[in-house]
Amino acid sequence: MTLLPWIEINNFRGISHLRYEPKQVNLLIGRNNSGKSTILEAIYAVLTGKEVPTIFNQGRYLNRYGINVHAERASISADNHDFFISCSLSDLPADFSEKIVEKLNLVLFHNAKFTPSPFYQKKFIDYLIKSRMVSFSVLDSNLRSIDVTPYKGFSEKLVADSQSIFAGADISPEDLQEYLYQFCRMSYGFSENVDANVGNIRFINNSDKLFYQVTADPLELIELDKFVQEHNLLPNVERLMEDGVVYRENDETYFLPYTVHGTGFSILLNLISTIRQCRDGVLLIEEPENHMHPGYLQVFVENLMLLARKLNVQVFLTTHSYDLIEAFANYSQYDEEESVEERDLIQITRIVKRRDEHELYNYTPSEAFAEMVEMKMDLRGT
Amino acid sequence: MRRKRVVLCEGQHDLIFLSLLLGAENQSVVSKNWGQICGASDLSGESVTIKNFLRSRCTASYLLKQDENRNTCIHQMWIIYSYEREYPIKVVLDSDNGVTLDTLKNEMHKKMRKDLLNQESSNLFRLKKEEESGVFLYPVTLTKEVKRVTGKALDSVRGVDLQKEILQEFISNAPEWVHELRDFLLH
Repeated sequence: MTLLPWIEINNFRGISHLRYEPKQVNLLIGRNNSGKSTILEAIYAVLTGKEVPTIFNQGRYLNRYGINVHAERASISADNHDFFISCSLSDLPADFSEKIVEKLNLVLFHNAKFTPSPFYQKKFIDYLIKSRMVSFSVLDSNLRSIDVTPYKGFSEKLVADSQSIFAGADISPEDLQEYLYQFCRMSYGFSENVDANVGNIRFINNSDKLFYQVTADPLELIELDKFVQEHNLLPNVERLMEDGVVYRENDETYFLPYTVHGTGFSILLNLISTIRQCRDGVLLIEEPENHMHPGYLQVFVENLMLLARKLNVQVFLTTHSYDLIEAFANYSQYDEEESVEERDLIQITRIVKRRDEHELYNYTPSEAFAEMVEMKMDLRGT
Repeated sequence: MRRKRVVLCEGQHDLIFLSLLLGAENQSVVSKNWGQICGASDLSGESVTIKNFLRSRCTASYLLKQDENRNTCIHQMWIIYSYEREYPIKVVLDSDNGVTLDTLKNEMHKKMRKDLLNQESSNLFRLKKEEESGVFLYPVTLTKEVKRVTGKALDSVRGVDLQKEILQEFISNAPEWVHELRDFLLH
């Protein structure tokens, strides 16, 4: 059973409106800027409340740049989850508004060197909200996560307006500067959130793939070892270690660290290892085909299908690769015990952006194959 | 630069007829029959054919694309429609006493799950979201119309040159629907 039977996106980044009904293993294809990665980011946001982590940013909360430029509020809904980003309190439920104001009070004035009178506290909060200088990122109707994030340019505007905000308040200029400085440094991560208990959600983007840390878990190493040997990914392998591979040749062994192995090999190990960590969860991968020969892609697809079923992982992939689409389209393993054809678990979705609207065209693997081979159309688009 | 257009048709006669019609209006045309399309690539002949046409080094304004048969033509049309494109698609088919329109609509509902056709006349159907794109249906079939006007049986004539002569004669004495077709192709 999949974690996400459907997801509805409204005004999130470049997507005005889109409803997507995925299956267990999902391939998203389409031209550049059609919205493939945005769908992955929306899935990650609605399950975690956060921006997709990268090596430069480890799990920030989404801010106003997550809202479509033509809208005031973004929302993402999926089965039991709701997530939204807003710049205005007026279109939030009343209890949210109250909690956000409470939170702003707490953040602004709790650690300040001085505490203005309640009159000026309220004046300052009203100023922030009316000038839409902060955006609110909220996960779920139980308000499990709330983030108040100022946008770029906030600091300059706040300083410029500070005199008018605090006109008449008994604050020395130095204290006011210190106060504004503390607030201007307010950024991500101070939310009163509880990390949503939604299982294992992992996102692998292009840079993550290249920074693979081999697991230290001995059982996991054994499984990876079996995987490498079974598919003969490298010749003469004796065993996998935490930091490299031991080879045997002519009764002699030698060790080579992972860092000197090919990028494709490292990426394949990374992907397979990550699937195994996502039991009962969701795995999102951008362009898994990068750096991988079609032969490796075939191995990846076969093992992805096996592990996704066995570990109940819902998988979403974006791709531009003909070989990867073909590998999924040709996949035809039938599990007699489950009486479910593997192909029924795979959905290939083409995203087309037409006049600011996003349209989805869903294919089973056999339909995709027909369009590519019999109809001689390149499924990735013209 | 004039916008490029892709025209789908089902038969060799259609290719010749449409080439002559557009040529008479000084439009540059490149024609590809089914064999040439399949030969363009093992797996993505349609895409390769269209992409080559769209490249700037191809100066033709019209790509006349002969798909294998009516059903393939209709199927291809909805597939191409569902892609993000920068060119209009125009489809020209025999009406076959309503059979073609039924097939067109069935495929449309099956693939697109909505009604995208605006009927402009008994022969012409434009696409709702793209008025330059659409489908033109010959009254019954092209060969029957040619026989009616010229008295000559197009499908019993061998040789492209003879077929061209007959079709040229037909265009010279064109019934009203040919003018409607010409307008549809040009605008």
